[in-house]
This record gives sequence, structure tokens and C-alpha cells, in this order.
Amino acid sequence: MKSECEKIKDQIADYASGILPDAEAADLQRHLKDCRSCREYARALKDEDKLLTALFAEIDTNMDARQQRVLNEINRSSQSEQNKTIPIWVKIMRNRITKLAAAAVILIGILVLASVFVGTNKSVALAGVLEKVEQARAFMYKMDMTMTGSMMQGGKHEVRGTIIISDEYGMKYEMYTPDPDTGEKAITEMYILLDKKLAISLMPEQKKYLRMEFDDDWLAVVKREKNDPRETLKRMMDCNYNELGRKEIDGIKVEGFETTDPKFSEGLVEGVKVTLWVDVKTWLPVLWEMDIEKNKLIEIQAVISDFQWDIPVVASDFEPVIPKDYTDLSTDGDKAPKLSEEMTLNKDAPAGTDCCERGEAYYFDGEYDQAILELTKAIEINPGLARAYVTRGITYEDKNEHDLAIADFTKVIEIKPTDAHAYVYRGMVFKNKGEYTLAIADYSKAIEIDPTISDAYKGRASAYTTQGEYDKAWKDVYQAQAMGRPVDPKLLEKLRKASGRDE
Amino acid sequence: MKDGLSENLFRDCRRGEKSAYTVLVKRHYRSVFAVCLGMLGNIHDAEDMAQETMLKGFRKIKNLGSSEKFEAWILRIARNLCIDFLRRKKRTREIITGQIMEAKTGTNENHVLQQAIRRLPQEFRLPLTMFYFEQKNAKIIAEKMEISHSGACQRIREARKMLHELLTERLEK
Repeated sequence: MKSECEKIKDQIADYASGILPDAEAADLQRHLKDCRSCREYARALKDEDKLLTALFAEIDTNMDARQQRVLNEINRSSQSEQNKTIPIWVKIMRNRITKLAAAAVILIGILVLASVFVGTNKSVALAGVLEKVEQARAFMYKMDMTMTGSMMQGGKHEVRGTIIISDEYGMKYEMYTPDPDTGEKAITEMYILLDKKLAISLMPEQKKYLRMEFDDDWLAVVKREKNDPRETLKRMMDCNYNELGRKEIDGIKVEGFETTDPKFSEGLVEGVKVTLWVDVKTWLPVLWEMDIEKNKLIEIQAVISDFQWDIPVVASDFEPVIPKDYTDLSTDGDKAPKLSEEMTLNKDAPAGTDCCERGEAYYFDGEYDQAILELTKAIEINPGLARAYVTRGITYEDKNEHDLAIADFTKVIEIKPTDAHAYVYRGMVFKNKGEYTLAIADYSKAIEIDPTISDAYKGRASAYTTQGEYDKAWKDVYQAQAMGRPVDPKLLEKLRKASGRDE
Repeated sequence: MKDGLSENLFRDCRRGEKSAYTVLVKRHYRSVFAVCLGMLGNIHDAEDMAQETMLKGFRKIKNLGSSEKFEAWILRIARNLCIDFLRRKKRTREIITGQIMEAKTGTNENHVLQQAIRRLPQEFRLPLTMFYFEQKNAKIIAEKMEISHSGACQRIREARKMLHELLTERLEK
């Protein structure tokens, strides 16, 4: 009888929810008549049904207000959408205070921009690594990073840093930059305290500090752009990757993984190469190298190493000590800025910068026509804004509009006659257009101004090759190689064949 | 139930037209919220995630194929965002005990019921929540969850039985 009642309980549950087929209802009623315990069960479930109905009806009463909030939010976001959201790292780049402090954030942010990770099962090995990493409540690593490209006004930036990430307290960055006199110079110590919604940045050189509140928008951006190596790892799992086998690093047996899958960066950057070496005993990362590039706009090479896992952290590690002689940067002028404002605060930025950055953002998203519109607007606002011409030139070139690109780079050269990069760009366009003599002239001019740009040698080597000037081409190849920059294998192959030399 | 986007509406949405998308939000917000509440068991989080879902839908609608149903697509986004949220939450070991399913005018009785719902495994909490949000129509929730009708009924049944266990266990205590 008991098992019968168990079966009946199913029917009762359906009956009490109103989903029991009519055909079964009669049988159930008969049973209920005879069986007291089932009758009680049915009554209890009916009562619960009423409670559930009432509870959800009550939750439902606020629905209109909730919906309205969402509509407002969409309204807001679509307004800023029309104005093209400028990716946070672009904002960071242009801001002199946050630029270097947040370098680590950018590095990771640039790799994991946008949408939500959806895991797959295909990468068992990396899943094991992730599991180990996720167990660490606090960990620490070192990072060495070199950033080059046209977005880095002033050429090359090198940053070293130590980063601590704690689930409980937040993140702490200590960043240094190489200094010819002292070896290295502290740039900033930055705390991101998630629970307090506070970012604090100490700048020892200026003896200043900045307290910034995040607002929820900024937090949402951080969440979206997920500045955490664990997210990077997840992203990597979702990509095609190669197993590199085993080797030893500092006496530790490691196994390597490498991805060049553009999916890793959501197509944001073209060139991406990520190599990860994990300890075969612990499955924890030992060395992580990333090399990413977006056209000529930016190239970042980063080495993340010296991991320490599950380190003990205490609250005081994440309580910044601000020396007495430091002044609050925000008292220099305005009220304490919110971080999101600080990001967009652009007191010393030239006119047209906003349009220009929107244009860059469009360019990054591959929306070339929109990019050109914004950049043209920037140029109308400020005809002297070289940066806008550079990006527009690159955009035209990507659209195979060589002549328009040449015109833009020529304008850059007019504005900044000593800008070696502008010559490199124009040389590249001339080369793509088949005007090799002009290309060689531009590359040579670039090298004359700044002999450290390896792309100029590589470009000139390619142009010389096409012109049959093999000796000169080889010389440039050697020069580029000596600078530690690999030369395109296709060019090497072509040069070998053409020159009949095997070097 | 008609869910196919009319051509015009779809085209306008894809162009990022806010007013067109507003129509969709009005049509589907309740379902999205119900899914989030069912997944997360917490009104506050459900509100956040439902908003996030609708915003993401707005940004991504241009990727939606013309033959695909908006509702199935947006509910899938909601589920995925909730899974991601739970994963993050688990990682940060954020345990919010105070605000479990708190309706503003929650009575004591409601409180006990909310606690019990919260303790249901998510695979049962979700169909149960959606069921009561959809005027107890199992067929509709089967469609929304992309499962069979009998599968939906079975989960509702198990959920009800389990909930009863949880409630009586509480009373006995």
C-alpha cells in the first residue's frame, strides 16, 4: 500500500498544482476518500499552492517598477551607445594619472573584453589548471610589460609590477618603471577595494594621492571586462590551443599551452599569442607570456611570472597608508572625482579628443565607416589633431583606400615633421600601393629620425626585395633581427628565392 | 503564443533602435525576471541579472538570426548570465543570508516559504518559480525552458514534493 501511496503522492502533487490530467483525477479522488494520510498530504499541498500563488503574486506586484528601471537603463545605455562607448582602456591610456597605474588592468582587460564566458569541456587539461587556480583565495604575481604603438604617445612604455589579488579584499598593484639613474622608479601603488567601491592610487614621485569612488557603472564595466587572470584562463580554455609538451623552468617541470586563436581576444586584436606554462605537479601557472597587437595602434608584450599561490593576506595589506606629506590630488582643483569621471576627465586633452577616441573605438570594433565619420568630425573640430589623422589613415588603409591614407599621413608629417612613425605608416601605404621608391624614401626618413623602429627596417627590406636590391634588403633584415624582432617568414622566403642566397 | 518578431521590429532592433527594443522589453521582461529569480532565488540578484540580460540583449540583438525566436534567445542569455553570476558568487564566497527572496511586505509565513524555496536545488527552483509566474501553465514553461511538456510537469511535481518536505521539516524542528 505504501508504494501505492507514493505513486499517489505524485498525483497529489500534480493535482495540487493544477496539472493533473482529468482522466486521473477521478481515481485520485477515490483514493483520497479512503486514505487519510493521503488526504492530509493533499490538503497540505493545496495550502502550499495557495501560499506559493500569493507569494509570487506579491513579487509580481513590483514588476512594472522593475521593468521601468530596465527601460531607463537601456535608454541611458543607448544614448551612450549612440556616442560610442569608449573602451575603458582607451580612457586609461589617455589619462596621465591612470595610464601606468592601471597598466595591469588594461593588459588583462584588453584580453577579456566583452561577453560572458561560456565554458566548454574540450579542454580537460586547462580545466584542471583553472580548478586549482580558483581554489586560491589570494595570490600574487609579477608582471613585466612593454607597450608600443601609435596609441602610446611618446613611443615605448615599460612597466613592471607586483599584483596581489584577494577574493576577500580586492586588488593591489605596485607599479614601477625603469629609471636610468636609480634602476627603477615607483610609479604608483594602487588599491582597488571592491567592497568599499573605492580605488586609491598613491603617486610617490608627485607625493600625491587620489581617492576615487567607483560608481556602479564603472563596476559594471570592470565586471564585464573582468580584470582577473582567472578569467583570462577561462577565455584560453575556450580557444583552440596547442600543447607544447614539457620542459623545465628554474628546476620546475612544466607543461606548456599556447594559443593564437583570435577568439581569445574576441577578435579585438589581430595578433595574439599566449603561452602558458604550468607546474606539472601542482597544475598551477608558472609563466605566462602574452603578445598582442592591434595593427600599429598598440602592441603589448607581457610576461607574468613569480606566482605565489594561496598567500596569507590580512585586511591591513589592503589598507593604504598615505604618508602625511602627500596631498590629495583632487584638492588641486575639483571635488573628489568619481573614478568613471576621472576616466573621462580630460582637462589637458586637446579639442576633438572625444570624437577621436570614439573613432578609435569604432575602428577597434571593425566599424570602419563609423570610425571615419567620427575621426573626420574630430579633425573638423581640431584640424591640428595628428592622432585623428593617424587613425583615419590606418582605417583608410584597411579599406584599401591608399590615396586617402597617404593624404592623412602626409598631414601628420606636416603637423609633426619629426614623427618617425608617420613616415613608417606612409611608407607602408606606398609599399602596399606598389610605389616602392616612395616607400623606401619614407622608411629611410623614418630611420634617419629614429633608428630604433624595427618596422621601418622590415618594411624597407620588403620594398628593396621587390626592387631587386637584395644586398640592401638583407642588411635591413639583419638589422630588424638584431633588434630582436622576427621578420615575416614569407618575406624571408621571397628574399631567399629572389637573391639566391640562403641565410 | 506569437513570439516571432515582425520584420520591421526586428530590423529596427538590429539598427539599435531603442523604441523598437522597448517593445520587446515590455513583452519579455517578466519571463526574464522569472528565470533569473528561479535561477538565483534572490529578488535583488534577479533584478540585477534581469537588467543585465536585457542590456546584453540590446547590445547583441544584431547577432540574432532572423529565424531565431527572441524569447528563447533572451532566456538563454538570462540563464547563462545567472550561471556566470553564481560561479562568481561561489568564488567570492558571498553568502547573502539577509535578503533571501525578500518581498517588501513579507510576512513570517512568507519568510519560511521563501527560505524553503531558496533551499530547493536550482533545477527544481527554476521550473517552480516560472510555473507560478506563468499562471501555472506547464506547457508555456516547457516552451520557455526548451524542455518537453512531461519533463516540465515532472520537475514541477518533484519541486512541489521536495518543497513540502522542506516545509514540514522546518515545522517539526
